[in-house]
Amino acid sequence: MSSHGEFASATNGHGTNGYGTNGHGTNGYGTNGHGVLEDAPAGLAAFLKANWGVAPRPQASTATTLTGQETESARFSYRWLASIALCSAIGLGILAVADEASRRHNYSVPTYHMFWLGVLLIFVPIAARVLANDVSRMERLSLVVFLGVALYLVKVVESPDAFTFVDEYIHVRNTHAMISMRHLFTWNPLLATAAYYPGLGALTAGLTELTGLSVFVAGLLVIGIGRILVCAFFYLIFESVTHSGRAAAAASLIYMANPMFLLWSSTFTYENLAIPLGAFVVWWVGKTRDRGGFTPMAVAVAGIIGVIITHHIVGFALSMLLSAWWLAEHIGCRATDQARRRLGILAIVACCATLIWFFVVARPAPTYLLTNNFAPALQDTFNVLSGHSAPRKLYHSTFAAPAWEPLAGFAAVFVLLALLPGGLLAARGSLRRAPTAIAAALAFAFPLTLAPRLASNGVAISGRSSEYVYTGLGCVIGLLFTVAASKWYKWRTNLEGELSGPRRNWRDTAIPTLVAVAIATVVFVGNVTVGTRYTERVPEGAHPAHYERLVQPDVIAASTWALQHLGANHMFGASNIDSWALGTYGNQDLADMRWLWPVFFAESVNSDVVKDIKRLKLQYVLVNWRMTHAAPEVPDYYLDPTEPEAREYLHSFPAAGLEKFSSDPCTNLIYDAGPIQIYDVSQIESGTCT
Amino acid sequence: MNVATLLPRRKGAPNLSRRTWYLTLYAVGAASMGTSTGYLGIPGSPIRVPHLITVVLGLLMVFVVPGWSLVCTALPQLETWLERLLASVGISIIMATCGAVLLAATPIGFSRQPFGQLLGSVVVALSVGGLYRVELAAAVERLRVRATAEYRAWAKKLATAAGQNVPRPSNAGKPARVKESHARRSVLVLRFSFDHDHADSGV
Repeated sequence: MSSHGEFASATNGHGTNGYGTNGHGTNGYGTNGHGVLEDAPAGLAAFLKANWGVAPRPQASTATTLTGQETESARFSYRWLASIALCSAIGLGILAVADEASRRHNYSVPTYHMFWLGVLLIFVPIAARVLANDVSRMERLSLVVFLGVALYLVKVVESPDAFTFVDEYIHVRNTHAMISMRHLFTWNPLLATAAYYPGLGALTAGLTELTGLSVFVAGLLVIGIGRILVCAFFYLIFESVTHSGRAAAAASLIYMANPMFLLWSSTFTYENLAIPLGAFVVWWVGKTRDRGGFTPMAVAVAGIIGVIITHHIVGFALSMLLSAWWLAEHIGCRATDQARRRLGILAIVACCATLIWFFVVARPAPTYLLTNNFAPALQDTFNVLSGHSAPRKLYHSTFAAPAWEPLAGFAAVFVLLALLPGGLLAARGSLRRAPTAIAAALAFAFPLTLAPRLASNGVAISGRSSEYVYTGLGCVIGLLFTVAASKWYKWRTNLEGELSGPRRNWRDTAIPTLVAVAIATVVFVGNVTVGTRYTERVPEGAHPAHYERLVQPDVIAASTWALQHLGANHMFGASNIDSWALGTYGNQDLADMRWLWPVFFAESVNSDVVKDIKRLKLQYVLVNWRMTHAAPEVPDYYLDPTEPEAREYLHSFPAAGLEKFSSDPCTNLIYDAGPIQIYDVSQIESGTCT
Repeated sequence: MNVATLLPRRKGAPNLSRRTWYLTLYAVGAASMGTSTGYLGIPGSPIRVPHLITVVLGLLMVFVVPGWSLVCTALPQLETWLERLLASVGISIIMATCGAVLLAATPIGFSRQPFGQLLGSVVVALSVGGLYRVELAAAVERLRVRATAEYRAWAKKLATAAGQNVPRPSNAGKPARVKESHARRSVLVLRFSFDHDHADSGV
């Protein structure tokens, strides 16, 4: 292994000093032929040598005051940490006040502005500190993890007493099934595929059983620990890819600015456990593949299996990553034979296990993933790109977001697209290193992942892909940041000589940091507007006047009543939102929405409705009269995307559709609590009443 | 040593710090405490553990202790405490996840008792492995050194007594090349180890 080639980032072979101060070619990233690692401080160098089997060349002369990297004299600053913790605490306090005001319909509180103030109080101070020059490695890592946890708490503050995001109900049901049924693959009517990826449910059930905590608290802890792991391991991975703590911090910030990170990645869903496990496997393999022994391989294989039984997409992503890594090292020949062989074995294990689990064990998964999600998204995207269908209206909602939000969203995308070529150029010298090559390939895929966002069925894929693509994007932008900072220091030093005083040094150090913070903040703010709807950033008020977007307490009460008085696993029909509560709190089976929506939309119990009720084996119907009060805030759908006017609703649900249940002689009202009613339609289903 | 073979490593065994010792022993204690809360299936157990302690022990058993035991026992190459902690949490989560799924896939089924026993037994096994590795390996090594020294002394004494007046046999007939290959082979033998971690590379 050539120590030069291994770290070469952007070489010209002249050995000039990056900052023009010592003339020995020791530090200029991209200027001396040896890359950024030449600048690595003693701690980082020792770390890289110990863990990745590589050693930087010793510095040839005295360190300069200004460098593109962290300085050797950097110490962990508890004062900074305390100040930042205080800012984050204030930010979370502001968010808590805004959330509570929104729940209580207190319109005198400017919840919208408070949301942004709280979030920025968390993000900006930490970004400013981790991107600064004189920060120790441990402090950067701590702050990155702290930022991840603080952003996780934004979601916890929004839903402090129960899971409220729709996908969370799927995994609550899985966890309950694991505890009550004690075996795998119990039928999950909310998402059949989820039952075949039991990792999250099993871990949460285990924690619940051992500690006696509720499923909600155990779930929060599992995802919270996962958040800590994902931040820490991604930082360590970025550090080993970029060979720079400062670039790793920038990469971490960009990753945390992805559209899904703030709220979606904090939810109790299987992907949010699988990604930390995948990050652990990548870190672990990078660290131990050069070393012999059975145990590191066993741990890696166990990690791969853990990922595969937890989430399908992450399993595929990990398999592809390991395969690409092996291939890149095979082509680049930068690794020892033993390391390459071990990597190849792990890639084979990952690919085989993923495919076997996906096609053989998780039988509903191929239909769910390929037929129901990928194929329509790709088809729609193709139609949009080829001009056969009109692109989706971005930021379109009944309650339009303020005008600056679309601008911020576009600005975030344009900033990233503008930085991408520079980042790829910064990384070009290191492309013979497999990790950098993979990071560059992921970053290169970023523009491609934007296209499905223009198609109505492609939004989910585009958004979810950002959790993977932003890792590579962060790395190349982190590299660009260190290159730009180095060039800036060089320019300033050449301009003013070495006699610049501490005040000028401070200014010269602060300017690139502040520019980077501004860019990261633009990307973060813009992507929050992209990833989270305007109306979903604060919780919905209790007892809304229109069709709700979150499960309401009275629906939970009705579901609990159904479980206690009717028993579990009866076939229920309900609107999309209410069915989450019935499936989770009521432990009921749910009718297929594709056949259920005609039952709800019909104005009378005619022969078609009877036929559908019999086909669905429908026993009970939960009616939510709020559907008829006003149009939903978000123009989605009441039952199924295939229903008429889905995603274009401007008026409320037709009242006649619900009134037929109360007027028909073959239905019995068995539960009545305000706007929520439950009707027994089993006589129609069994044919005893016509 | 590795966990699979459970053979003591004679040289290069990790110089576990006292704190690591305490934590390993704590792991055994945590597993024991965990079993007292009902994992052994004793409904009327006289020991009543406060809920807070159950919560703390449960969290440690799921998130930290199994991985920490493995790291201390079989993965001494992790050098910094940060790496050990992160690896411990990652490995613990993987072990808990795979263990729970494994139990649910078997006829035993997943529940508190077998899950706690599984994690507890893994921790105990790893802790015992760690103890075996450090304590027994040192004892065996001491015994071996002593036995070797005594055997050499005895052999020397025997040779001296038996062949006091006999001229020492010459090995001049053996070609130099053979001797050289023997020397090489001996080097290979010395550098062999089960987990490919050479004896002279230990901490």
